[in-house]
Amino acid sequence: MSEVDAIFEKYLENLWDATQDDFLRLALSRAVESYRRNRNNAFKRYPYIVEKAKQLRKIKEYSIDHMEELAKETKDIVEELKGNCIIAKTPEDAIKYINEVVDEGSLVIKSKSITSEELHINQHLEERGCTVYETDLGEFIIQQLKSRPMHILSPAIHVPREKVAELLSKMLGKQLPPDIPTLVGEVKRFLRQVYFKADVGISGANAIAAETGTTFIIENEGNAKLVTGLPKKHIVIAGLEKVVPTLQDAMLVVEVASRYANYKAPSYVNLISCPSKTGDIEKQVVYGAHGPSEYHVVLLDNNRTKMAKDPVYKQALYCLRCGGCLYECPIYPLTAGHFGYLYMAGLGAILTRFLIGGIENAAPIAYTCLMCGRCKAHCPMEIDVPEMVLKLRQELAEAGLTPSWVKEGVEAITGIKIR
Amino acid sequence: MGGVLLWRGCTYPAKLVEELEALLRVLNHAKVDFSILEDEKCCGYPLILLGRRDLAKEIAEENSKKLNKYSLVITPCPACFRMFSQFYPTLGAKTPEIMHVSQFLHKLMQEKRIDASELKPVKLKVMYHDPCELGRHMGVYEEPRKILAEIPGLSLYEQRFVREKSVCCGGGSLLPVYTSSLSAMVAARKLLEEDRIPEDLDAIVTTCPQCILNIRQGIRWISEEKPINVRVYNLAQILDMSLRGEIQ
Ligand code: SF4
Repeated sequence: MSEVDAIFEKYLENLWDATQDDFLRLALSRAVESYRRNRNNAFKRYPYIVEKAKQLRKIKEYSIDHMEELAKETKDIVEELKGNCIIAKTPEDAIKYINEVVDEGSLVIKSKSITSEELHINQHLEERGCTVYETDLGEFIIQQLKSRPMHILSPAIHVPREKVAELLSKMLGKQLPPDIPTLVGEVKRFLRQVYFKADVGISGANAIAAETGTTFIIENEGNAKLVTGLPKKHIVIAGLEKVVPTLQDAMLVVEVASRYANYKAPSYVNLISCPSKTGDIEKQVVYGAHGPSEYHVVLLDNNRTKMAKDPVYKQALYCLRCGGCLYECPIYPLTAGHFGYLYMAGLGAILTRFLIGGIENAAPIAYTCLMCGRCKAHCPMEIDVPEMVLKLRQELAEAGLTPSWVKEGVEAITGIKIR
Repeated sequence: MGGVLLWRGCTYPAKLVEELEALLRVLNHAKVDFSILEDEKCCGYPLILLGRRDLAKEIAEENSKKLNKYSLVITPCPACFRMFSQFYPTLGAKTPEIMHVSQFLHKLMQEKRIDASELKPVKLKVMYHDPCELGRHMGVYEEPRKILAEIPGLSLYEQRFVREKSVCCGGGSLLPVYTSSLSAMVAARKLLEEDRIPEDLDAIVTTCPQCILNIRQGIRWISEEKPINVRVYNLAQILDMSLRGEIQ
């Protein structure tokens, strides 16, 4: 077997195994239906959200066309307000910066950030003697299981309660029943002790407003409040595409992303603009009051400026990570995140190509995508995934990354010898 | 030269002969004067899907010469239809007017070249499946439905997701070549979990050869566990049955 074919074979084997996992199938079909129910309710309550999504699309188009300027604007204001900001060209640049901020052996807590995975941040920090805890419940489970996220919003979508009980029983040294509220309570109790000892909190961002350097974080669990509020240092890791011009624009991202992610209202929206401060004694401003004394914003490029310059691929940067397209994909509910790398499904193929994994890992995903366009019909940003995947397949063909049997199949259909 | 060309596409003559014959009967019934190319080749769409625009362009240029001898090209294959309409212009290949067969048949009915009075009851409960290539990618949703609405005796099951929200059958984008089992599973899941086909459904009607083949695979997949008896027809077959007054 050729080396190229081997890549596809390995991926397809894994994909096949996923389809044979009855539990995964059941968990996913329940998740799909409950997502739809909740989303329909949210849409019924706020029918104007569709109009708002259209407005937001224009704002995202503008933002991606002015991505570098907006990042610069963000950096200037964050620094003016006594925070720190770096525009990191590569993951290595970002890691270098983070290493300067995080001391060796620190206790680090994280709230959900897919972008941080592009840096393999946990691994880097652990190598420097740090202890890292994911605090989002799903991420926590995945981290402890040493598994990989299976949905961009619900990473542990594939893990049943029995497995969680087993895991936590072992971890905490006591026998726990597979009762979901009990399990949630145990994780909460465990993480409570960690929060107050942590040196550094790392979060992602759903949007960043360039005018004030404000990070917006949508969440339900309340972990991001603690991660961004308790430790002395707070680091935000976000892709350049998260920056929009104004606070109002960022709020629009919050609204649209939450509704399309099936929430009427998320429990919390955290807004953070600079280190905590007080001027209560003689109006003299002191940084580091009750909240963190350091606010670091790492804006990650990692090929995003390259994507932004491509008329087709730039659409991928409009994505709000609402996760809706995955539930509506004809394939994802059969395979979960195995139809993906870190990022999943058709859009995931594009993000894999540019952000993490590279073209070899993007190839098997791109050939799985049906290019049916159902995601586009559901996407708040109307991202044309089929158009992007078609373009990616052209790149793959040029790079010789086509499975031989697909090539032969096309030869048989078309009667044309493929050079 | 002018005239109508019926571009059959690769799949019908190779794998769906009965279905194609039904279409020919309907066209003949309506006294449509049409030609068929004996040396019809691939439209080039699979090459586009493979990522080989360069090769697709060569074919497009060659085909374009043949197509342009006619004033109208009709095709029962939505992939060919999309290829000619959307991709040929970007490949620098000119074409005459292109219609999908469902649009053409609808026009024949409007012009009363197939008259409603000729239609006999087809007592079937059917579901119409929107092919992605024809629906979402080409925006043709109405004509097939209007044709079905004219057939006496036919009862239509309306599934949860239709038109631009309809669920793909899994037969497109070369997936059946890449991994045929996944394609079949997508079809099975679509029918059971998304469309939730009722037990008394007789048939699924669609307008795409790939969909016909793959939905049949899905039915086979389902039947391995629990046999179901659902047929899959192309739209012209229903019209043919209605004109002839017999269910095939
Ligand atoms: S591509 Fe669209 S639907 Fe999918 S996660 Fe992004 S914004 Fe949501």
